[in-house]
Order: sequence, then C-alpha cells, then structure tokens
Amino acid sequence: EPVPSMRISEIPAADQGLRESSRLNVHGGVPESELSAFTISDKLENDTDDKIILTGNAEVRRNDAVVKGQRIDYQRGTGQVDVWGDGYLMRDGNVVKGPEIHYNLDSETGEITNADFWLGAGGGSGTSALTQVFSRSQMRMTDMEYAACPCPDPAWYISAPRVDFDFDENEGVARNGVLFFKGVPILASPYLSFPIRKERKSGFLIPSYGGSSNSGYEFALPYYFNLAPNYDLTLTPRYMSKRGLQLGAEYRYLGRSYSGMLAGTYLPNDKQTQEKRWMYTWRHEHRFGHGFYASADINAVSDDNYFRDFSTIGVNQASIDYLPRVLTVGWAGSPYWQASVQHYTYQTIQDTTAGASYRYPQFNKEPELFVRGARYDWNGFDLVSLNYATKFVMPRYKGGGYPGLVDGQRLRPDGTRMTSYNAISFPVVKPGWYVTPKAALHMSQYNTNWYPGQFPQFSGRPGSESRVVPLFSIDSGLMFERDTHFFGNPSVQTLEPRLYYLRVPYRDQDNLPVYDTGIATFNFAQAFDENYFSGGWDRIADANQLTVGLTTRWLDADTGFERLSLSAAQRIYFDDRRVTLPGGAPRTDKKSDYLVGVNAALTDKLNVRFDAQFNPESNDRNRMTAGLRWNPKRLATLSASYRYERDPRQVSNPDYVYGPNDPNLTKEQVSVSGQWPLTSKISLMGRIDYAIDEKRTTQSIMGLEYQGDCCWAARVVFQRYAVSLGDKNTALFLQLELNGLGSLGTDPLGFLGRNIRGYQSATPPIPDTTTFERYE
Amino acid sequence: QPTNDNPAEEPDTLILSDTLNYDDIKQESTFTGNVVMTRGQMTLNSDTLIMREDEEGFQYGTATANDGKLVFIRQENPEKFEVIEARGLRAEYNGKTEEIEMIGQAIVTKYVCGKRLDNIRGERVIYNQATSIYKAFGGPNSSAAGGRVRSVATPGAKAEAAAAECQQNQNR
Amino acid sequence: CGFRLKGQTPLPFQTMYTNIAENSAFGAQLRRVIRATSPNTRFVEDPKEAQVRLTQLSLTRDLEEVSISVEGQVEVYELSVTIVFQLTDAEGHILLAPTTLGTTREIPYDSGALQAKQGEIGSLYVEMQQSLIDRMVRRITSPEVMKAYENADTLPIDESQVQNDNAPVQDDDLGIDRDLLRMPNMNPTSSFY
Repeated sequence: EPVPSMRISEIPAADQGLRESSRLNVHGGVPESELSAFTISDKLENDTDDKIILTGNAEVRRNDAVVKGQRIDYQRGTGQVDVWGDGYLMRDGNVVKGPEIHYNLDSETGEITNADFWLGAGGGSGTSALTQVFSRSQMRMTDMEYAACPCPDPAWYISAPRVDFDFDENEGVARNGVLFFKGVPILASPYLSFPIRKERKSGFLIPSYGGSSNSGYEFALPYYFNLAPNYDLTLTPRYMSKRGLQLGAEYRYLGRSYSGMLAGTYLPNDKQTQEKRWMYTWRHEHRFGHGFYASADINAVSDDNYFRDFSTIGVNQASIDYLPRVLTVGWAGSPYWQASVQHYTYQTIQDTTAGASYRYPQFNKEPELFVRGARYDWNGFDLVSLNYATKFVMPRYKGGGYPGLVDGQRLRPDGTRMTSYNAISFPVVKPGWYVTPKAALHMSQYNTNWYPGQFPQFSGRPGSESRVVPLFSIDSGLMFERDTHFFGNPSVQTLEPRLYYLRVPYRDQDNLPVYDTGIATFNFAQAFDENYFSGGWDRIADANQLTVGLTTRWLDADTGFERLSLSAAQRIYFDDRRVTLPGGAPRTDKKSDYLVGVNAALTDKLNVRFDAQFNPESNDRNRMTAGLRWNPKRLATLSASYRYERDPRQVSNPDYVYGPNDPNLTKEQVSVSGQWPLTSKISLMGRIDYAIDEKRTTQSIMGLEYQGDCCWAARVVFQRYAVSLGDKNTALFLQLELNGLGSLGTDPLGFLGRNIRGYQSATPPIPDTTTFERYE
Repeated sequence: QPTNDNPAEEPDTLILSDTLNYDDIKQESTFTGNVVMTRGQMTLNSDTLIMREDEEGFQYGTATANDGKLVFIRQENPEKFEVIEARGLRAEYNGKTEEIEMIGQAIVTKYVCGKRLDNIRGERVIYNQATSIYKAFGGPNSSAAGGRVRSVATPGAKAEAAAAECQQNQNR
Repeated sequence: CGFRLKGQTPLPFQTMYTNIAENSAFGAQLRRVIRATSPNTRFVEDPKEAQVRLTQLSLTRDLEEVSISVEGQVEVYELSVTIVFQLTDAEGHILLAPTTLGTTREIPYDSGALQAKQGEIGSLYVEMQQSLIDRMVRRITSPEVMKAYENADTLPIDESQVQNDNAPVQDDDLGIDRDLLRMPNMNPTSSFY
C-alpha cells in the first residue's frame, strides 16, 4: 500500500522517577489563633504578663514553625519569640540558624543576626549578616553569600551587600551582586536576579563561549522570560567576531486546544557579506474539537549559505537542503475515516561552492487532498482505502549562475495527479502459521502540462492519462519451535519460513510523469512489499515473483526476551520487470540479491546488528551495514557502525567500465561514537565519521566533560564537519554549567545528545525536593 | 477534727483523714489514710499529710501518696471559670508564699470552662496561687520524656472563647 | 531436530483490555496474534471489566543522522521505533513492569529524492512497528507473566491506574486515534534554528 504520510507521534513515557505523592499536604486552614504551641526545655517559667521563659535546649514547636535555642522567650499573646544562643528557626522548609533570633510567629516578621540559612524546596543556602523577615513571602538579607546548589562546600556562590527574596515570585534579587566560581569572580552586575525554587523562572541561562571557522569567536548569553505558565520567550543575543551581533528568539506557547513555537534569528548587517541574514521557523498545532485539526510548519531562511555560516554552535544543520513550508487542515473524528488538505512547498538551499551542481527543487503540492478509510478485522477482513488528489507545481528557475539555465525557465513538467488505492485482505492467524491473501486496485488519473516548447522530448505526450493496476499477493509463514539452550540459559529457538507471492500485471507507464517516486532500498521490509518503487507510486512495478524468507530466533524461555535473530531472504522472478523510471533499463535477472540479517541483544548492555545484500551469481556484496552498541554502565557508551554500498551502476551491470572523469560511486564509511568516563570526574566523548572511499573524515567531534562536585560541570567540545563540497566548518565551544543557578537542566546545545548516540549528561539532575523533606 | 484558727481573712482549712496524731515537740500533726484537705477553693487528696505552723501562724504542709498513686490538688477560680489540677508524687504547700510545689512526675493542667487547655509536665512544678506564676524544672523523675520539661500553651484566644462560653451559660 | 509447530499458550485470564486502538493495523494484528495464541481470551471495551490490562505507555519513532557525506549531506539515517508497555490486573497489580521494546533500521538517504525517501521512511516505520507485535506477545504470554498473574496480590500496585479508575470520567472530545492522525510530512532533520 502506498504510504500514508509519515508521522512522529510521541506520547510521554510514564515518569518513573521519585514523585511527591499527591496525598501529602500541609494541614492547612487552621487559623493562627487556633495553633497551640508545644514547648520542651530544661526549665520553664512564666511571668505576670503571660510570657513563657524556657531555658536549656529549649524548643517551641507549632504546626507551621519550629524554634530552638538555649533561651527562648515566647510571648503567647502576640506570638513573639526571642531566642538567644544557637538560635534555630524552621518554617515552610526554610531553615535559619543564628546566635540571636527575634521572630513573631503570628505576624511572621522578625530579625536574625549572623544567620546561616537553607531555603526550602530545592532552594540554595548561604550566610547573611542580618536577615530581616518582612512577611511570609518577603525577606531581605544584608552582606549575604548564597549558593543555589545543595552541596557541602558549593563551588560557586553569589555574594551581595543586599538581596531581597520574594518566595511567591520565586525570585531573589541581588543588588551589586558578584558571582564567584571557585573563589574567582566571573560575573558582576548591579542587578542580578535568580530563582529560589527550580521552577521556570525568568533569568539568564547558561552562557556558552566558543568559536568556529565560519563565524569567528562566539559568545551567547540566552535570557529566559517566564511570561506565563503556558507561554515563555528565550532571547539569545549572540556575538560573532566575523559576523557581528545576532539576536535569536524562541517563543513557545500552549493553549487548551493549541500549542506551538515561533523561533528565529536576525543579523542586521553581516560583516562579511554586508547583508541582512535571518531565519525563522513556526510550528503550530490546533485542535478544534469534533476531530477537526490544523497544523503549520513554516520555515524560511534569508540565503543559501545561512546554515553553512551560522550553524548554531555545534548543531550541524548544514545538511539541510530543502526547507518545508506546510499548512494542513484535517479531520480525524471517526475511527474509520480521516481526511486532510495540505499545502506543501519548499525553499531549496543551493550549494553555492564552485563546481557544485544546481539542485533541482522539489515538486510543491499546492494543495494535496488526502482521504483515508480503514476498517480492520471487519468479519475477518481488513479494508484500506487511500485517496490522494494533488496539484504538483515545479517552481520556475530563478536567478543565474548555473550553466544552461535561463532565468524564469520551466524546470520540469508538472500537473495534477489523482490516485485511489483500495485493498482488501483476509489475514488468517494461527499460533503455528498464518496466511494473508490480499487484493488491491490502484487507479490514477494524470493531467500533465508537458511544456513541449521547453521540453521537446516530451512533445506528443498525452495531456491526460489514466492507469488502473490490480495487485495480488499472498503472504504466508510457518512458526516452528524447540527448547534449547543459549549460552547456558534455557531458551526457545524458533524457525520461521515465509513465502510471499506477488502478482502485478504490466502496465505501460512510460507516458506518466514522475513527481515523487524513487526506487526503494532493497531490504527485509521492501522484500515483502507490493511495489519496489517508493513514495507516491508514479510507477507500479509489474511483478510475478516469489520472495522466500527464513528467520530463526533464540528467545529466553522464561521472559520471552529475544536474544538473537538470524534471517535470510531472496526473491525469485518468474518474469522480467519492464516498468522502469525514465532512463532505466528493464531488469531481467531471474533471482534477486539475497539478504542476510543478524540482530543480537547478547546482554542487556551489548547489542550487535548486521545486514547485507549479496549478488546471487558473483556473491559479492552490494550493500552491507554493521552496527554495535555497548553501554556497560551509566555515562559509558560506545557505538560503531560500518556501511558499504556498491555503485548502483555496478550493481545493475557488474562489469560496468568507469571512464576517466566518471568516478566509482561506491561508498564505504565507518562511524564510531562514544562517551567514556576516564575518572569519576572527567569523561571523554567523541565521534568520528570516516569515509573510506574518500580516505578522509567527514565529521569529527572530540569533547571533554569535567564534572565538578554536585554543583557544576564544564564541557569543552571540538567539532569539524563538512558543510558543502569545498567547505568545512571547525567549531570549538566550551560551556560552564552551574547547577541550581536557574539552569533548567537542559544542555542548551542539545547537540551532544543528538550526535553521540546514548550520550548522557554527566551532571546528575538535582532531585526535586519538597518542603516536607526538612522535618525537624 | 480540730481546726486551727488562722488570721481572720484566711479561709479556714478543713482536713479529713482516717487517723491523726499530733507531735507536740515538733508541733506537727500527721494525717494518714484518704486525706482530703480543703482550703477555700483548693482541695488536696493524698495518703499522708504533715501539717505544721510557724510562729507567724503560716501553715506548711507536705503530702505524699503511696506507691503507684499521686497526690492530687485541685484549685478553682470561679470568676475566670478556671480549674487548675496538679498531680505529683509529693506536694509541698507553703502558706507564707502561697506556693504549691509538686515534686516528682509533676503534671499541672489548666481547664477553662471544662476545656483542657494548657498543661506542664516536669520533675518539679511550683505554682503561686496569688500571682498565678509557675516555674517548672526537668530532672530524672520528670513526667515528661527525657527528663525534660514539656508544656502545651494554647493561644489566649482559645481560653477567652472558652471563658465566654461559660459566661453565656451562666447568664442564661 | 526437535522442531514442532508452535501451539497455543492458553492464558489464565479470559478478558483483556488495551488502550491500543482497535481500528489500526497495529491494534488489529496485536489482537489477532493474542487471540490466536490464547483462543479463550477476548478483548473488552471497558477497562474495568478486564481481568488484565495491556497499557501502551509510549510509542516513539525516531530519526537520527548516522553519517554525512563529503559534501556535508546526510548519507544514512537510522530509524528507530520504541514502544513502552506494561501489564496490570484489575486491582492494579503490576504483572509486567514497564517494558521497552525497540527496533532500528538504517537506510541510505538521498536528499535529491526527498519526497520518495519520506515515503520509504514512512512505510519502514509501519513495518518496524508491526515487527514489534511478535516480541510483545512473546513477553505477554511468557511463563514469568503467567506466574505473576497467579500470585498477583503479592505484587506492587500501579497507583495511577487505581486513581484513574476512581476519577470521574472526562469525555475526550477528540476521540482521535493518534495512530491514524495524519500529521504534516516530517522534514529530514527534525530540529534546527
């Protein structure tokens, strides 16, 4: 079945971390006047106006606060508590210790001299000469040192003559504060605001310093605006020595029935090109209810070289060559039917280096109507109907600079295509065997403007053409089992032969245009598929073939977990395949390449993957990939992958002769990536992509991550990757991550996670603490 | 039983007990067995009570309870609808300073209008009837855990509310 | 050599519920394989009537650059489909703790044929997801899970399931089966700016 459009669906996994149980809450609602105070002391006395004097390791405990000290005077009427000697006050998880504490439990005001304090709910700790408490939520500290991360001797702290805390606003504001790191002042500012709790809070994110050959030295200091619980803004001013000052912005929003993100960058004047350089992306999803929805994915960039010149530190986007702009409106209200209309265009990014060929744009779909019907297991039958109506438009050639192309000329014929694919199958599934007969009918109607003036070779082609192709297939398989042992533990070995017969009559399709169809890679999935052309099925291959497959697996007897699977497949052709893409030759081989595959989860830590495709006669390999992934423990992972792909021309014609300037396009590549802890503090990470056929590395990343005590981590990463035919970008960046200083815990570079498979950030996330953890 | 004549404005003390013997030399009278002493609004229950008098006529008493039982003192203050109950292994009463001292497993509890409000527990608790000032000390034989002094102090508002309630019942 | 045709493994429970949509290729095939393996087990609509619940916690499809060419173009993508599911009984006892099953494929990429390759990636994702069914059913019908069902009351409880059962029912006006929702084509590199 031609493919329903691909989609990413992500439903968040249940959070398995520690969670605050919802039943745990403060016994609220008791008015102050009702709160009894419990005292413990060596000696107790009261005086005439009802003041209680406690001496000797005295404590006053109330539902909402605990006060300790050598001597405590507790004036019951006013709630005033005066403490001398080892004063200790705990309230809402905040703890203050000092030689002298004067505090009023009812009005929640007071003063503490020379205090050490620890703030509740994941807040930091520190010292202050004088702490004045104005209310439950307001507090001021003078001559204060504050460290946000809960480690014994914090590596960094903020010191300031005056700091005002507002617990409701979750904000600490330091006047003339200085940020010290390992005793060295690294940031000073008259106004420095930082969060108390780990919640989202406006403030500076982690700065990153670095440089790259394309944009020179770089310094970026993102600032995060927590505008509201459901929308926020991050502004990232980024100075680049070779380019100038660029402003990046990301606005995220979430509504009851919609969500989205608007991001972009703007550089008013690029020092090197004297032009404006910008880029933006907008993603939006909207649900209107009753199954109606809409979505947008709009991206644009100022010029072809944007991604090469401005690859965000470390993120390799130079490989982008088509920027999609998609608007979709759809309905998916019923379990059986869904429909959508989509307007899909592209901005093509050319490779402007000398010698690079012109990159033809993709066909825009202006628009594409899609209706899908599916009814599974309806009295045993599966019915699927996929219907498309698409208006393909090939943009005209704009601008000059490429030989043989005139500004404004047509590049390809375009037109409309209507297709309807309807399939009915009757899967019979038994424990030991299965048979799935399937019949499908593919109808399509093309109305094409061939522009014979521009393309004389197409003159005389019919403007409209239809095609009706029936497809029949029978998929069947057996499942044999036996008990055996696999490396000593009891396991079940299966033997699964599979036969897939496909019959598709020949239809002459040479007069049909090709909009979005190509030859699919021959692999285990494609071997048992209806058409070896992929995409929109502008070509449906004639077929009278039988694919024979055999798989054997070893499963743990007790858990059913698959340890090792070996599989092989080959296709036997009873007729030649006459349907080809324009310029292709009919294929007359009697047997296809045979495929071999190995997938082994030898231990929970190590898995190996290998699959290959061999020519039936010569037994040489046409394609081969091998992959290994091993992560023995946290923060240690190693993955390697090897890939070989023979030049397609040699595949179809083994004794193809290569001319002088006609290079052999066989590709062979190795890629190794990993993260390895050298010591408990330092871990090494890296990745190398080496093209064996080109004898050089296409991408290399080396990184070192130093994990300080629980408070900070530093990363230095060197990266070098090809951005175009002639140009490579070398980038170096370092990052100082101060845990607890409002770091939202994300590696703003996000790069390491994407490029080094299995990468885990060395800084363990600070567990969420609650006010209940500090119980005295 | 003989009653001692005290200064005119002093409330007279009535002591009931199973037996009484008077020691002329020490000028002490010792009451034993189900002793009940009432003196104005205060009543004392104990197993033994030793009473003596100084030259100025102030009375001093020491009450003790047999093992397992505690001396019990109850002091009423009708205007404030307050009742103070004190318990302890031994009670010392000092007429001159008008202080009652409970020694050993001492517990003093204050009720207003029948509602139990404050209480203090320790090894020794001294309560002054006139100034209603009290002192409590910890010690090995404290009724509170760890030989400490522990107290519960309910907010004044609660006491006033209880008193107001009794006030209403009385007016009705 | 000791091979014999695979027979049935009757499950000790007769009624089963799953939040995997029935009218989807994945859901329909999963139900067929379970019914074939244990004919006396049938699927019910209402979770509260089911003796055992198969809950799909997450289903993610991923696309990662494996290597880039000398011109800086992506040459190979690695596709991965990962499902996390768990098995609980009516009272919420966890018979099979959240289990992750995944499969990966590598496919060579040619940005010139972007739309054809997107189609190929799409059909590969569907095939990879179907390939998880056998392994899921093997886990669900394994002796370990059967033993867990026998002495379920000694097992920990999934608190969220108990809460959801007692929570008032909110009508989800969408009723969309996410598996069928057609989202815009995904561009080759998922995030950039």
